[in-house]
Amino acid sequence: MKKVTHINLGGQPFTIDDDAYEALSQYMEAIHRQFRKSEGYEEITHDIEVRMAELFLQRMGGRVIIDRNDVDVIVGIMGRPSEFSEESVPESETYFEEPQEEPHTEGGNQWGSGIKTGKRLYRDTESKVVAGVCSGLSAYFGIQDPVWLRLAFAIGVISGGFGVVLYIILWAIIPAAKTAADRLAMRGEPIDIHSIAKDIEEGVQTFSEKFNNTFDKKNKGKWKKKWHEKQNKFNHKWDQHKEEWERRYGSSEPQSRRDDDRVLWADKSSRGYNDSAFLYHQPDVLQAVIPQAMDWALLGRFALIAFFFCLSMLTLIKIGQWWAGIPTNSQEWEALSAALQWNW
Amino acid sequence: MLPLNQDNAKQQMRKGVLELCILAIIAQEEVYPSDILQRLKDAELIVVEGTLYPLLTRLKNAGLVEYTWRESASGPPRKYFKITESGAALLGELRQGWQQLVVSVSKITDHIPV
Repeated sequence: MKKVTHINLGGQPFTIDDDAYEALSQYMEAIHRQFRKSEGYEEITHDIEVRMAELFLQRMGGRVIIDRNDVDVIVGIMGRPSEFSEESVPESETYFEEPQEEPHTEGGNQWGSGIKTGKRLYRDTESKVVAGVCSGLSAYFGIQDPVWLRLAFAIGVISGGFGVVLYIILWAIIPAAKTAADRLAMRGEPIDIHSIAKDIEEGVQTFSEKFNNTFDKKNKGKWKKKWHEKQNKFNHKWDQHKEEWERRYGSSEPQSRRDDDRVLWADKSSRGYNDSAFLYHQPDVLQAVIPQAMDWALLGRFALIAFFFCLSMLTLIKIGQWWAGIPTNSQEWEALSAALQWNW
Repeated sequence: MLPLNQDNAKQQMRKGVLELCILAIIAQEEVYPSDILQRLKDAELIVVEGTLYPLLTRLKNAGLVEYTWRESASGPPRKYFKITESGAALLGELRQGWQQLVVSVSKITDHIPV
């Protein structure tokens, strides 16, 4: 059983599976990205949409609902956006096969033109113990098993509590990997439709694995409740992911979509981000998320850090005083000054 | 030494003559994009359909082709393309250029035993 969505593609109504819709909208997004700066942007993208609608109509025959396979076939006919832009084969870049120096950053770059990924540091909230800091760091530094970092943090916690402070600081400053694109950037994988689909599938898999593992244990009632909670959480996350797409690309009117892009671009250039290598590597999806990072939860975490920071500083000062033999209260001060015969 | 990508080299060649071929197809009769695609595919000149649209828009913006909207029996109205005067002139020159290129290239490559 699957949910379906109704779409308007090139002026034709279609009914489409949700996963097929996801794939199709990401493909359209890649096309828009490819031609955004071309002359005749709207005309080209509209013509492509019309053609795709025509191909879908031909392919569907009597069938009613477009599925993922249909989308793959039609996309195969249309081709990757990077293949069909006329300017897309500058000699220096693709005429020769480039030597593969960094497979992580150059990656497959399969559909989009500008979708290059550098690795980014995120918290991996899907394989987390506390907040996913360790698993995120492991992914970033290419450590296979986050358990080693967790062990290091655990030692840091036991020996003096410094690990707690460090962990909370990292928790606050490292953003959580919210979308599939984030998660791919976290692992340094190329962001394209296949890898996104893979990531989502994996997410569902590890999730059900987790569930099965825990469910095997005897006390089913307890886990049942937890399962429902998790399920709701997962659904909520999924909806968020979809809303983000729909908010930015779901409107069927190309004009407004373009305006949206313009705002995004203007936004970027006004902050002087355009030249920075850091954001050059970020797909727009990520950029849309970055400005929203400052929310109440974050503020709360900052407050928490400030509190723990003060607490640990006070403790450190006390320890320092004790260690250096500096008196900590007035009686001790008097005793000390008497012993040293200080004249106040 | 960078290895030459064979597929890419072929693709480059195809892209080079694509403009000429599209102009030639449009010059023969009024067509809409899907017709052009069909003919290009029959001739194995085009691999992915998306290639056509940016090219077509560029030809139109350069005033080499123009289109009119026509109702279709099935689906939304279609753009029918036809060649303009300057387009026809360019087509003539491109054809000449192509003939010359064929002669020049074969002068060199014909002597190489395959």
